[in-house]
Amino acid sequence: MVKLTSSEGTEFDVERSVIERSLLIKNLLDDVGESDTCAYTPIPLPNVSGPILAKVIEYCEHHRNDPVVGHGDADAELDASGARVSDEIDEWDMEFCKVDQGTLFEMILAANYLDIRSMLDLTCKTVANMIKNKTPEEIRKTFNITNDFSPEEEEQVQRENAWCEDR
Amino acid sequence: MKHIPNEILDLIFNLLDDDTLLALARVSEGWKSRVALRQTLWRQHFKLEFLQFDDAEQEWLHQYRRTYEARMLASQATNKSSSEGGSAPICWLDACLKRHAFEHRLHHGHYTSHQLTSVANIRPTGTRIQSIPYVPCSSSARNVKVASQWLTASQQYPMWLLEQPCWDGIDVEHMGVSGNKWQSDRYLAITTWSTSIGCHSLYVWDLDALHKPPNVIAKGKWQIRDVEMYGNWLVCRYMNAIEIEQQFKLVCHLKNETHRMEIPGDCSRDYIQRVAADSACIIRIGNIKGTVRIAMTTYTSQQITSGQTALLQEKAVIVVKMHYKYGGSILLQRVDDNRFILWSSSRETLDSYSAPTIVLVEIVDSVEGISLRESLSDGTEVNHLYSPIQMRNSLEDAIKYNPRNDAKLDIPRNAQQESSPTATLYGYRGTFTVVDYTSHICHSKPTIKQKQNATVSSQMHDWMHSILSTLRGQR
Repeated sequence: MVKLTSSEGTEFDVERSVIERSLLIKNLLDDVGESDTCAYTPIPLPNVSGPILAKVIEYCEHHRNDPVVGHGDADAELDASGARVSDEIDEWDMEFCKVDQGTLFEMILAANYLDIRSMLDLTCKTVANMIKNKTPEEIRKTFNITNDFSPEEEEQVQRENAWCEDR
Repeated sequence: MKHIPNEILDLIFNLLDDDTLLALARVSEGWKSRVALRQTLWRQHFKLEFLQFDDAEQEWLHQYRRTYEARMLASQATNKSSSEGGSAPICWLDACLKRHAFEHRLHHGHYTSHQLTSVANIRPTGTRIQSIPYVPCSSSARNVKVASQWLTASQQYPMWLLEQPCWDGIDVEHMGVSGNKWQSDRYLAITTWSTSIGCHSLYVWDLDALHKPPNVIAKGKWQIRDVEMYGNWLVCRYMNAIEIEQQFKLVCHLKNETHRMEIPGDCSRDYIQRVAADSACIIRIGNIKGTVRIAMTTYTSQQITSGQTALLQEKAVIVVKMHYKYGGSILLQRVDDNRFILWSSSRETLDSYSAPTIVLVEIVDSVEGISLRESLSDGTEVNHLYSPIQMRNSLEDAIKYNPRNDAKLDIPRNAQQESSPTATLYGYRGTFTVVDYTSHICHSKPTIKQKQNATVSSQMHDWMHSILSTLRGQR
């Protein structure tokens, strides 16, 4: 077992094989070796809050038997134009990501910090799906983004982009 | 979202298709900048969507660059702190947005119309965006006109003017134009026939300076054929109308006026593949020894240097078997400096089992010298390259709403039509109408009688007059 401490000091006990989906923690544990010290010395994760760490552990437990996706595999998902393909998200993952927007963004940051590539991909895909098929105004509303175009720029943008509305 | 670091934002953007990214670019200035940073992506998007070896696409991009650079120059002129010299690289996102917008206008009949009733009596200063020559068949040379779109430093939008090429020092009274014309980005070439002395001539104007007399490139009793212009170079052949075997090739640098001539001894045709300040690389297609089904074609790459008088030097030769039908011909489409496509003009009637009807040839530069390599033939890839040549719609084909049906434009049924990639000129008995798809001021609706269009056209007309008045005042 491995002990993790969230930013508020909450401790989580988690199986080593589960949390090793995090490359950050896996590398840390590999460096320390097989000593028992790691079982009793909590690993501090000051960038991850307790509720988010709980979500991370939930994700890692569910996907404990999945093959680990490293950075080197990322290119496999590139399409001909060089853009990454947004695949279907399976049902459990979709339910897992049904959280408020703030939590979702925190999960992205945690997945990035802990270097859990598959969780980062999942959360990014979820955000990407929230953007797809939306008009600029809908995207602004969804993510509470301020339209900072000047009136002249806005007019120019609208004029130049009339084509988009009819596609 | 604002707390998400840019590297994560980029990961999310990577998951989006280009259309969604284009929508993101319209969300906010910050996101537009973020999306625009992906220049490689947009450049790739542009090249995939709008095939760059299509001549019309290349011309669109030329026009975009010219407009962009003119605006940059105007901006530098007003902002003294800006550094001078060197053109800024274009924003490929902006190019994508504008190119899509143009396509939309083309397919939805959104255009501006400009009535050009008289030749401009002042020479515009600024940047010429594009020119559409009007050369009526079997007509007086004086009837040749050029509709040009200019962007001046003081104007936000380009303006259309009617210009007349200068004929100073030429006996125009006894001269007719055959209607043959060739145009490059920079030059206009016209063949004429003099009734008084019975000779053919080839005149070339710099489209940026139509007020200056043309270069007389060729003059004599020989017919001028197959004019090709690229950069500052021109190639053509001229032949004795009676002794058709007597042919001459002419290679000419239009700016330095250095001429080269040779007797090829066959009906080979030259294309300009690469140009530099003082040299050009010519691809020669010739020696077609075809039967009805198979043709053997030789391609010769040659280097010409201004001022030299020696015969053109052959650099490389490739012999390619191509399917060729009697009566058809093998033509060349330049892809880029290092590639060209050879294709049989009668391709659609041929099967390609015994020999290809289309070949992609690469020019390979190595320490040993230049060589030509047949890289693809009749595969999917080469057909993909070829399709824009075969299937490319002219502007006339691409537009869904024919401006000729626009009652308010009142284009005469017999009006001669000339098109650039982004505009069409209709000319009839001294009256000219330009239908321009580069701007977005009015909309035509084919089912409604375009009342709105007429109002905007009228506004445009007034606007043109105000610009002309302003320009006249500046002088």
